[in-house]
Amino acid sequence: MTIRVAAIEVSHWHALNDAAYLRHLVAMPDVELVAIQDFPGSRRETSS
Amino acid sequence: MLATTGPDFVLALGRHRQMAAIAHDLLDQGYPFLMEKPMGINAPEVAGVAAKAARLNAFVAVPLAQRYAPFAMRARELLAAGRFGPLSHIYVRINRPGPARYPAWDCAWMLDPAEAGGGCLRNLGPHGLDMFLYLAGEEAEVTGAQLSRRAHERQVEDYASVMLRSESGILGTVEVGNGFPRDGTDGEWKIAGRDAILTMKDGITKLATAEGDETFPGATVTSPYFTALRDALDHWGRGTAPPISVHDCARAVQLIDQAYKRAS
Repeated sequence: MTIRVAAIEVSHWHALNDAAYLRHLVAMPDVELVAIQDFPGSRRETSS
Repeated sequence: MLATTGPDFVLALGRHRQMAAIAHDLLDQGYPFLMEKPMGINAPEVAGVAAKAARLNAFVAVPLAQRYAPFAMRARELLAAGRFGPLSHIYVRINRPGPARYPAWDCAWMLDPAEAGGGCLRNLGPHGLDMFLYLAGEEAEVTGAQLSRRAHERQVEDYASVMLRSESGILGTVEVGNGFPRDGTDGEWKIAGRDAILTMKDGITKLATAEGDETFPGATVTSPYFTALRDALDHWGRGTAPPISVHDCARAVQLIDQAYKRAS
């Protein structure tokens, strides 16, 4: 079963640095990162 | 965004000031989630999330990843085998790079007490204080604390030392800091009992007993954060409670608030 995961408030540094959760999530074969979000006005909000 | 995409699971980050409100929203919408510590800027905020999670029987995991690090895993094995005898004390030091990294990562809010709820004690304290509670296996209270802003002269502390005592008298010292002069960690972990002392420093784990020293292999290649994330997802997939939950985070944050009060 594929686990569809959304990540919110990803401007936190742990999204990509130190803990780097997003890097770990995309490395998991049974996980699909279906959306990422940050608060309005920040630099990234997208979904797939 | 969540209503549009309908995820199975949510990874929630965010500024510390936002975290409790985000957690309440996710609970209200019925999403299982993993949220970064400290889940709020004070203990009442996190306790409120924990209470709602309990009431709703919701899945709220927290990646206190130090529990998956080699020191903690070895310590738990030795505790289960009774190798330490009566415990005396536990020591944790986690000194991470200086505060300049936060603006460089577009997270200057970490240096604003109103947004971050404090400095290294609020952010790194959950790791060290949870480790004390996890290994002691019982509740504790803060008996003393000191904070310093001397090295980096920011609004938030860059060093904190916290002294603890568990219900049965196990003593603890937790030091956290943002003072390592490059990328990396000045870290040290110890658990000491009548019969043995387990230490980890500079990647070397050593058990000292009456017979001599035993050195264990170095750190695993798998990041504790990967393991924490994987374990949380696996528990959710099996329909079981989070391996590390908002309730664990709330206990650590309660000690953080006690430490700030003691230091003031």
